[in-house]
Order: sequence, then structure tokens, then C-alpha cells
Amino acid sequence: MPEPSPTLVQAARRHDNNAWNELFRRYQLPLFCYAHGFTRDRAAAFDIVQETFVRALAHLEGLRDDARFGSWLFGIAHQGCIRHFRKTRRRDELFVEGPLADDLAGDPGPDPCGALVTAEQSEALLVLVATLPLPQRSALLMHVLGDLSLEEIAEAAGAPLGTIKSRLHQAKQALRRLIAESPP
Amino acid sequence: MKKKLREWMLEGNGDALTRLDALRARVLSPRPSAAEVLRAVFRPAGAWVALALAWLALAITAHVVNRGTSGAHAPVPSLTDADLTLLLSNESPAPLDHHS
Repeated sequence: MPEPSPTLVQAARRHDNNAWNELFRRYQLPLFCYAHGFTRDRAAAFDIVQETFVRALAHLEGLRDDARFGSWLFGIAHQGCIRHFRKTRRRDELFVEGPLADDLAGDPGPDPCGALVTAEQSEALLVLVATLPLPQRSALLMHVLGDLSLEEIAEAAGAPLGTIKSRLHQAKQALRRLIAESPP
Repeated sequence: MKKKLREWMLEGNGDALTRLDALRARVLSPRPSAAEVLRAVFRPAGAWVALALAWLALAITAHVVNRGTSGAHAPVPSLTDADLTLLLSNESPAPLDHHS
């Protein structure tokens, strides 16, 4: 998902309502999918999107680079998801890391997130995504839905780059295996 | 039909769009001024109008009743300086203390 044009973000900085509308319209569904995929709670996902919009409106001056508006917005949504987990006493799930990849070198093959899959395969993949440990799931969802780079995910999630690299590698490996095993 | 995982994900949550549109519009709706908030709070709704009419009726009744009762008594005449002088001159002095 390409970042919105810096002119649009600059217009939003000047409190241009049309610019905000365009920006929010563009990100509302990916943000909802992210929050829903993270929390697995539809009502909470709506609340998180709304909270993200309100916080974005109030704190745009905190965005240093207009070209990173999307990842900034995903960062706000991510924090909303974390707050939701703390409130609902599911805090422990946030730290279930799952196995981290030891060896990130070498060619792991094509990116499964960019692969074309059938409806049946996508259903199986979504079930798999839902079972991933939360930190892996979060990194994968940001990568798939926001098209965020590793650096952007690390910034949005507030985690070290190496950790994000490992989480995403593990998640992609799981997807790759599933795609390879499922009928075309 | 084959699509990328992202497209399947967005499509699977497409039914959320209506609510998201409404949510976006609500967040972006211009904030009302203080005067607008007051006008909205005190909008002449049925209850407020009834309350105002009842209050008006009470005020009118109280006014009419007051006028009726005050008219029944004769007004107290006001004394002029000449009246006061006359009254004081007719007063006898207070008796002195006989023990002194």
C-alpha cells in the first residue's frame, strides 16, 4: 500500500477536513483488519480505529516525516491494540513470543504475502495467521495490510529491528509451508 | 480466482465499511461552538415549552393575586415634616426618675 502523497498530509496539517477524510478513507479498512486480526474482537476493532483517528487528528505534529504517515497511523492503532489487551487482562498474550528464527540468512523463497492464492487457500492462511503468537501476527499483519517495511514495523511496534526481522521470518515460513502443502 | 492475501483480508472485512464510513464522518464532523451547544441543550423541546408556559401561568397568577390582596387594605398615609412636628409638640415629657 503506497504512502499517501506528502501534499495530502501537508493539507491535513493545515486542518483541511477533505484531506483528513481522504487519508482516513484510505486507511480505515486496513486499520480495521489490523485491529480485528490483532484482537480478534470486532467491537474492539471499531473502537480502536475510532481512537486511532481521534489521536491522529490531535497529534499530527508528532509525525516527523510526512512520507511515513501510514506507518505512523499503524503505530497508533498498534498502541490501541496493546491498551485493549491490558484493559481486558490479556496482557500475557502480548509477550508470548513463539520460536524466534536463528538463521535469517539465505534465500527463504518468494514472499508468501505477495503470492496469489485461491479463496480456499486464503481461508486456511487466515486460520493460520490467527493461531500465530501475537508478536508474529502483529508484524505479519502490518507487513501485509500496511505494506510496511521492517524498519517501519519496528518503529510502529516499538521493537528492535532484529526481533521484527525474526518474527516476520517465522510468520512467513509458516505461511510458505501452508501454501506449499495446500492444493493449488 | 486468485488474489493476494491482503485483498482476501480486506474483502473478508468489507461489511465493516458502512460502519467505518459513519465513524469517520463522526470523527471529522466540525466541533460545535459553545453557543451551538447551548442552543442544542436548550432547544425548545416540548418539555421545555410546557415548563416555560407553566412558569408563566404561575407568575401571572401570583401577580394577579398580589394585586387583589394589596387592594383590600387602605394605603398607609405618609407623614409630612409638619405632621411630625405637630405630633412631637403634643407629646408630654417622660416622667423623671423619682429616686434621683
